[in-house]
Amino acid sequence: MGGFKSNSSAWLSQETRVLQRTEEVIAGVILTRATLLAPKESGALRADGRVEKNPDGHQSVIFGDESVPYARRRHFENKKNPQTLNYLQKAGDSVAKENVKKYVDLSR
Amino acid sequence: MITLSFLKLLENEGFGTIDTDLFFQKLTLDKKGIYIADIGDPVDKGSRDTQSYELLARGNTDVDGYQKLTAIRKFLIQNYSTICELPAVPPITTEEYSNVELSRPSTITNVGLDAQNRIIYSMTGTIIFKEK
Repeated sequence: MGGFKSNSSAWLSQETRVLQRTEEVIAGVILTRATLLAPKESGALRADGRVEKNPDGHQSVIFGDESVPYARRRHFENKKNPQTLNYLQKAGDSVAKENVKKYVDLSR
Repeated sequence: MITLSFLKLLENEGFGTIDTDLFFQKLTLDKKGIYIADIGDPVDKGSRDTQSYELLARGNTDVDGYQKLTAIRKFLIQNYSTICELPAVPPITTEEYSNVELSRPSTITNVGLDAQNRIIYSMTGTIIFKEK
């Protein structure tokens, strides 16, 4: 008699890897877009963006550190270039409004 | 460097000139033109690899960048199955690629306004390739 062997654990492992890669891809795209949308005076803020892995395994897109302490302030205040306010949030929103399937497909 | 070779293809097809209005990764520049950025690292797909990319456009007017990406999108859709090789870009790289297949690109997305009040548009796609 024939039998049935489930391969669900391999499938689950593969899909988990795809979703992890999707998160990395989305973080990278948000960083790219935020870099283009960020205000530019010296260029230090734009050059400071990066993706960091959190202790929980998820990804964060971050601007600002000791060398660019004004990154957070520039996100919420900018009288000279008000169109660049919320540059990081806008980059995230532009990705969120797209179909997430697009990024899952790019990660396969 | 597969995306640089892809950018060279766009240059050869008349979509611009590298370092003038076609830029490889240099996202912090404020110039008008088309920027290409890698999305993640290359992924092994058996005998070939895949690399996803994002093309971003800053134009002279609100619609200029959109029109440039639309022209590139049209070219890619018409030619995705006929492009089999991508060129080297000397002196930066001598790597050439064969068995190249360009996926159908995504639709065009409005990303937002930059510091110069120019609308930035985006389009993504994937290149399947084999290094020669």
